[in-house]
Parts: sequence; C-alpha cells; structure tokens
Amino acid sequence: MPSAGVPEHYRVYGLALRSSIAIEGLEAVTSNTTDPDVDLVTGDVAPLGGELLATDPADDEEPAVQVERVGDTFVFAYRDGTRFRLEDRGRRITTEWTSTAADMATYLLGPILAFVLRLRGVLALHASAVSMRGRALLLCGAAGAGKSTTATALLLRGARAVTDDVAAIVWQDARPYVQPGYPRLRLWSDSVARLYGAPDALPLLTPTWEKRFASTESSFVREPQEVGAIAVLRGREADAAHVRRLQGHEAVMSILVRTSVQHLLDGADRRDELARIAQLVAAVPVFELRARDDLEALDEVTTALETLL
Amino acid sequence: MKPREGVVFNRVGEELVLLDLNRGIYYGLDPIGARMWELLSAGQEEGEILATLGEEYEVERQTLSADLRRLIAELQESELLE
Repeated sequence: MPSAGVPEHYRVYGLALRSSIAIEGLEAVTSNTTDPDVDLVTGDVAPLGGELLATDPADDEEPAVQVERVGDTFVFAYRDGTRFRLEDRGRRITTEWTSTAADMATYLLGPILAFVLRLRGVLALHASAVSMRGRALLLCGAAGAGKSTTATALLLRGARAVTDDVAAIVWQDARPYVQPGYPRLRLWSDSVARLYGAPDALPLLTPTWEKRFASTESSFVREPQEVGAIAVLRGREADAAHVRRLQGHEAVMSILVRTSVQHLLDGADRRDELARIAQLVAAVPVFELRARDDLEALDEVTTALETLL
Repeated sequence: MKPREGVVFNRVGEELVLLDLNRGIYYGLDPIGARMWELLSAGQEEGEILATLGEEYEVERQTLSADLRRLIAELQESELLE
C-alpha cells in the first residue's frame, strides 16, 4: 500500500472526503478543511473480536463480506482481503487491502459510503440517477436489473450523469434532491458490448473483475439535482416496455433499501429511514418499468423513461 | 393485542408500511388494513374496532368482521401482533 502523502480532498454523495491516498475515479477538489465529513486513512484493520453481525446471504460458500460491531466501531472484511474500520459514525475510516487500490475504491464508493450516509441519517438508495431538463430521474432495482445500463443509454441520448449505484437524498425547501456521486458509470462487459459495440470498448474498472467503466466527466452535474421521478426497473419478460405508476405501500416497498447489512443500523435509525422513504414517495411519483432484456427494448425503455419527467 | 416489540410502521398516504426490525421484513397494508392496524395498535378490542370502522366505512359489519379476523390472523402468523 502507498504511504500517506499530502491528503487529497474529494466531494462525493454530498460528503466532504479527505483521503491519505488518491482515489481513482473521484475528482479532487480544493479544500483545506480540517473537519471533513469522512477522513480516510490506510492502516492495519484488526478484527474487533466482536460478534459477526452480517454476512452475505450466500449459503455454504465463504461470504463476500463479514461485518463486526463493537460499540460505535464497525469492521467490514471482504473476501478478497479488503478491510475497512469505521469509527465515530463513519467520520474516520481506516482501510487495508491485499488486492488493488481500485478494488478498495469500488467497495468504498459503493457499500461503505452508502452505509456511512445511513449512519449519518441520510437516505441512501441503491439507485443510479441521470438529469434531464434540470430534474433527476432515479433508476432503482435489484442488482442486475439494468440500472447502470439504462442510465448509460439515457446519457448517450443527451441526459446528464448524476450518480451510479448510490443515490443520497437531501431535502431543500421541502423538495428532495439527489447528491452527485462521481463522474463514472460502471457496466458489465456484456452491457458495454450492447451499448458501444464491443465488450472492450471501455476499460476495466479493476484488473480482478469483469466490470468496466464509462467516464461521464463531460456530462456530470456537480450540484444536487431535484428528483422529478423514480423508476423501478423490474422483470424482463414483458413483450413491450410497460410503465405502471406505483402508489402507497407498493411504491415504498419497491424502493426500500435492501442490503445484507440492513440490521447493522439501530432500530430507531431504521424507523427514521422508513419515514424518509415514505416522505420521498409522497413528494415524487414512482413508476415500475418492465421490459425485455435486449438492445431494441432498451431503446423503448429510454423513450418511455424520457416521458416520466 | 398489541404490536410486537421491534415492529415499527409508517403511514404512506392512506396506506401503511410495517417493518419488523428483528427480521428485517417489510409488510404493506391497504387503506382499510392500515386503519385496522392503527386501531389495534392503539389497544382497541375487536368490538370497538368494528364500531369505529362501521362509522367510517360503508361496509357491512359482517364483511368488516371477517376482514378484521383475517388480518389479525395474518398479523399473528407473521408475528407482528401478539
């Protein structure tokens, strides 16, 4: 691991992040703050010796991640040797890895910072977002539902990039806004082939994974975007792209945060999170979108989505 | 009857979402189910709930009674109510 030099400053999901190492994919910002929201350093991350709180639901295989908690300290240990210690509600994060810094950054910018946001009481949806005509469309759905692929297809048609995979929601003047993430979208190789003609049209995110990234620097918005609509991507059996408005509890349950670390949050925090989702659904229309999984359908999907805002 | 410890809920318009914190499972209730839950969690007995619902909804008491019993059975089976 590289040794610490001059710290880098970043802004991601609305968090001021100071890091002792450069983080690939993030844009450095000028800052001399001595009190960042999150301070990331490299160092040893020893097991806490506490109870294992969460593992992936996978049955007999070694789980992808194991989490321990002792007091306010959490340790996330990933199967590939990447480890994070979160202290003081995520204000201080220590990390070590045996794979690559790019693998570490993938966890950090995904589940780790999403969890930090939730510890801080910020609603962090598992969603990508693009902006069209100044308003954001959130794309929710289970892993593999096509969030990033659909977001990329919308960008190729002129939408602007807001965030990939983690949508932090904040309120301004009683309206919900989504915080910008960082100027990249991550795609599986087969999606790259569909969108760009060849699987290797885009570079690999890490040497160890079949996920590639598209730089969205030219269209990336750096300010929070007002959320205009939420689309939940589901199922791929429909003949034609089909859009249906979801209401009430159906809408809430379609965008609920489902993660393997759900029960790491205290009961009060999870009750507040449920209230925040209900508040979001009251303010923004939620649509379910069903479509086939092919390039032709993707065209229909983007056309349908463009009409939602 | 009362909600089990660790069950929280939130109104969504006229509907309701229940969250069982112990198991991390969510449940949704339609408007009438939501109202029944509110009355149940306020500690009302079946008879009182039917009287209240009879004033609020134009539905026969027999139908309401059957719906209430079914909901209570489902909630107990899901360990949301004790």
